[in-house]
Amino acid sequence: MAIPDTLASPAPAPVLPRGRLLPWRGTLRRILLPLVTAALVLGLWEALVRLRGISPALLPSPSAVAERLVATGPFLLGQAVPTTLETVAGFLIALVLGTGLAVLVSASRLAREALYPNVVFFQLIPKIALAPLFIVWLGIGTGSRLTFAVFIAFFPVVIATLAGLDGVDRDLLRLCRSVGAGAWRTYLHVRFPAAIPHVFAGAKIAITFAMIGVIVGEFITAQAGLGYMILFAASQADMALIFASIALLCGIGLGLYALTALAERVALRWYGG
Amino acid sequence: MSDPAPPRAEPAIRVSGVAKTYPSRSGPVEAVAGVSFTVAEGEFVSILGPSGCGKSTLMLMVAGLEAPSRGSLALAGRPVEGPQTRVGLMFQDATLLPWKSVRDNVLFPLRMSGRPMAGATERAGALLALAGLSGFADKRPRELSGGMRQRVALCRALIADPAILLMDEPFSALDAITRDEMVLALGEIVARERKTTLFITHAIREAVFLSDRILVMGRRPATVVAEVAVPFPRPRDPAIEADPAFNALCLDLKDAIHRAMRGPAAAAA
Repeated sequence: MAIPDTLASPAPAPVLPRGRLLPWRGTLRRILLPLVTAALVLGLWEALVRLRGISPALLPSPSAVAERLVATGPFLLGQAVPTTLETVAGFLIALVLGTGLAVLVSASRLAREALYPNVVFFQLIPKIALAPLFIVWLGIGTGSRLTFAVFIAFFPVVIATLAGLDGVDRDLLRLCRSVGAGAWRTYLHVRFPAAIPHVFAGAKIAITFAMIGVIVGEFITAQAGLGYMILFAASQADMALIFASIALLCGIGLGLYALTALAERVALRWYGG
Repeated sequence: MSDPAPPRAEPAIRVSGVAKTYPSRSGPVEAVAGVSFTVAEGEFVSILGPSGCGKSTLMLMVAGLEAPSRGSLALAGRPVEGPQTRVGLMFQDATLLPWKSVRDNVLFPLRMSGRPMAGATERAGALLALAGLSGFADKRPRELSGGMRQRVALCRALIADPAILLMDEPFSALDAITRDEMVLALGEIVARERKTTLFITHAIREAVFLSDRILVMGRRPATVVAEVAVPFPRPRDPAIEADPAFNALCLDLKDAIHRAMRGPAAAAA
């Protein structure tokens, strides 16, 4: 191929596709690139702590956190059990109550007009601020943390599910009426299955919200759990333990989200949309 | 279905002085104003008019899914009060259930009605074969093209062996080539199944190719401004589109629609 005279004519468009600098396939790149970025930040953190001699009482290095995580691993895992169980239980209860309320609101005009504006109101306010009320009313046990987790995880489920139930094609609902199908049969065979992708969209928000609810509850009252560990370690100025607890919490949060996303994938494969 | 057969003289569809007014923020809106017509048993009648002229409202009233504000409707002599189970419906979109197979989508009206029908699965298979979808019974809707999905919707409309087919612009979301194919397939299937059909469309050639009779509707509120009989026997061969009489009819209808668009007064002149 002749090299064009760059003075006489503009250079031809490059033949190589863009992104040739990273010669991986798209997915590999999508996974590796953020991991490399995160590793760089951790490396920078480590270097900063070591080179500047930052006190571990202020900011422990990532390696010190990792050491601490390994050393206190079994103990922290024990603390993670109540946190995880309460999160999962809160999530499941919120899922059942949330879809239930969405069905009620979509089925009854009275329920929609009376309840839905209030649901939206609660969805919009900073619900975390209400946490102390739950402690006052329900005490310092699992019950109050669970209730609070349900309370904050519930609203995204209602709103997403209702969007799905309301979004069913009007002509499809007309078809159901025209073949003589009642409201219940239409829910069971058309509206509810049609809403399932929306239910999962709400569930993915709810699982993270449920964990936030439990942690906030533990901050206020608990004698066990990872939220309690974080506060306890802070009172001892044990920064490595704080970070180790947070790291474990992040791992559990990601794992629960991944499980929800996996369930969504299975459901969407069934849904086939 | 043990009802005594209605008197033979009663038309399959009778629409008498039907009007429909909707409430809206800016006051009541009249969608349909005083429409009367009949469709004989086995007849294919098209309602031709511009989009948004109230044709769809009319179809929903025939199906008993909307109540008229004035006037009355009857199917085979029985007054329409509430949803009619002996009609097959088809809409602009196929509205299939993505989580069900093609076969289960066809069987959907039977399952939903709770009236089991002997040999339903066999009938679904036969209808799919008639619609050229023999190998697709176990596929999901997303694996089909838009035209194939609309064929599934046609099979679904026919599964319960309804006396009347009501179709609301069923091909308007399809590309021109698929549309021609579907028009041809519909003409053959409806003729073979001998269904009374009320077909709503804004496509003139489609209406002429398929119909025994065409009712032209004007702008909202919908009224019948012209009625045209199509003299060719059904089912028709695509070759009739070259017939000068066919094209003359299309031009007449085009003219009628133009006059209707300018208002009922101009159409009457």
